[in-house]
Amino acid sequence: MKRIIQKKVCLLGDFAVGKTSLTRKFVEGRFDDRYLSTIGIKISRKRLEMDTYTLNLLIWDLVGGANFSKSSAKHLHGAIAALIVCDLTRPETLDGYKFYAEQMRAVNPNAALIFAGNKSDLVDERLISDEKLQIISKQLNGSYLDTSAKTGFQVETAFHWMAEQIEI
Amino acid sequence: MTTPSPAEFTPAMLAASATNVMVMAHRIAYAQINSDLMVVQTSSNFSMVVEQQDTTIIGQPITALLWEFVGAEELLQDVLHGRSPSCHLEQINRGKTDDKQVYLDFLVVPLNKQHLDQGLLLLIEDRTKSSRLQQTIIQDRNESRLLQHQIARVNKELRRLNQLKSLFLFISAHDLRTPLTSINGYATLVSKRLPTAVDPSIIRYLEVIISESNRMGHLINNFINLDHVEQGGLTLQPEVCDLNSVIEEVVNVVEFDINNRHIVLDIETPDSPMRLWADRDKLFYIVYNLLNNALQRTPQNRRILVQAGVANETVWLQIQNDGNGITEERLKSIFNLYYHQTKATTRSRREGSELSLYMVKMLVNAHQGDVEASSKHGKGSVFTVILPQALDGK
Repeated sequence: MKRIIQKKVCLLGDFAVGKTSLTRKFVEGRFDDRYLSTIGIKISRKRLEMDTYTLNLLIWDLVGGANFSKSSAKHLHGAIAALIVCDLTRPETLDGYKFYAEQMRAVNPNAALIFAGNKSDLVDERLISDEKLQIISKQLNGSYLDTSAKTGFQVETAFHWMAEQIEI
Repeated sequence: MTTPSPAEFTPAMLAASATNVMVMAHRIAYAQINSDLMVVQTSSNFSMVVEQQDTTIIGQPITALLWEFVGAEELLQDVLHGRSPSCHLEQINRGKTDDKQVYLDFLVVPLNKQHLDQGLLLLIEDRTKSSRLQQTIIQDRNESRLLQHQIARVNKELRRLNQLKSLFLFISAHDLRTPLTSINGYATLVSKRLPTAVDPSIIRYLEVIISESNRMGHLINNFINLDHVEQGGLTLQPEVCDLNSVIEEVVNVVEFDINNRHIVLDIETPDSPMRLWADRDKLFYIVYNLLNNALQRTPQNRRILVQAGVANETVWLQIQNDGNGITEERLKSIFNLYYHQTKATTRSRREGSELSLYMVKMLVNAHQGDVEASSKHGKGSVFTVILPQALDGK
C-alpha cells in the first residue's frame, strides 16, 4: 500500500483573475462562466497517484486583490508552492505578481513559485505579452505558463508542477 | 447506550449538557486538542464539521479531521508553546456548490494560559450569515471594478478608432475633392461652350454631371465639417452680418439646381438689413444646407418659400417646401445624426441633407440660436431658425 502524503499549495492573485476557476477545473473538471468572488479561504483537495506515494494536494484558494491582508498572508504558512495568477486581458493584474511572490517567500522562503497567465482562450483580448511574463517570472525566480480554466489548457500542468515540488 | 433518568444526572453531566445547548444555540463547536495535536474531547456537534463524518474523532490528529490544519502544524505548536497567543483561520469556505457555501472561523487558543501543557481549545464558529452578506458586498464592488476597467478599455479603443476615422476621412476627402473640382469645372466649361444646335440630351447629361458633382462636393464638405465638430474643433469667428446678403449669396449658388428642376423660389424678406452677430461662413452654411434640404424634398415644378424677419431682438428665417412632408416619428429626430444612421434603410438623394440637418442644428446652437421643423404629411415641411439679433455693434 502506498504512503499517503498531504501537502498544501496556495493560489494567489488579484480579484477575478480566475483562481477559483482554475482550482475547480483541476479538482472537479468543470468550468462556470459566472464570476463569484471568493472571500476568506476555499480549500479543495485533489488526490494524485504518484509513483511511490499518494498525494493529497490541499489547494488553498485565497481572497485576492484589496482584500488580501496581513492576516491572509499568515494562511500561506506551510505551503510548498504557490500558483500566482494574472488575467492576460487585464494588465493591471500583473502588478500583483511581485507582491504575492514576496508575501509567499516571506512565510515560506523555499516554496516554489509558478506564475500563470490565465484566460489564454481570450486570444483577441489578450493585452500582456508572453515575453513580458517570461521576463517577470524569471526575475521573481519562478516558472511561467499560460493557462485557461475555460478550456483546461495547461491547468493540469500548473498543478502538477506544484505537486512535483514535494521532497520525500 | 441508555439515556440516564434525571435523577441519575451527575453535576458534570449536567454541565456538559448545558455547554452543548449553548454551543448549538450560538452555532459554535469545539474540540480539545492535546500537546500531540490529537483530539481528546469535543462538543456533540463537532462531528458535523469533520469532512469524513463516519470516522472516529477522539484520538485522531486534528490534521486528519480538518484539512484546514494541514501545513498549520507549526502555527499550532507556536500556540502550544506560548510563542503565539492564537491561531485563527477566518472564513473557511465549505460546501461544493456556490449557493450552499458555509463559512467557518477556526480559532485555536491555549486551554489554560497558565498551564500550556493542558493543550489547546479549538473553537469553530459558523459565520455563514455575516459572510454571505460580506460576499455580496465584495461581489458588487468587484463587478463594478471590472465594469470600470471594461469601460475604460472600450473608451480607449473608441478614441483610437475615432482618430483613425478622422485620418481616413481627411485623406479620402482631400483625395476626392481634387478630381471632383476638375469634373465640375470642365463640365461647367463644356456646358457654356456648347454649340447652339447641340443634341438636347447632351445638355441634360452635362447638367446631371454638374448637379451630381455639386451634391458630392456638398456631401464631402459635410463629412469634413461633421468630423471637425465631433473632434471639438468648432470655433466661431463672429462679425456683424446681414442675413439678406447671405440669402442672396446662397441663392446664387443653388440657382443652377433650382432652374434645372423648374422649382419656383419665392423670397420674402424685409428691405432693411437683418443684422446678426454671427460667423459669416457658418451662417452661409446654415442657410445653404436648409435651402439645399428644401430642394431635395421638393418635387419638380413645385415651390420653395424663403421668409425672414426681425422680432424681439431675434432674426428669424423660415424655409418652406411643397414636398411630401415628413412623418411624425421622423420629425421627432430629424436633427439627430444617429437616428439617421440607424433608421435610414433607403439611400436616397436626401441622405446627404439629413447629415446636413444635424450640422445645421450644431451650428445654430453654437450661435445661441434654435432650429425647429414642422410638417404635415403630404403638405410639405417648414424649417425655422431663430438667431440673436446684433445689437449695439454686436
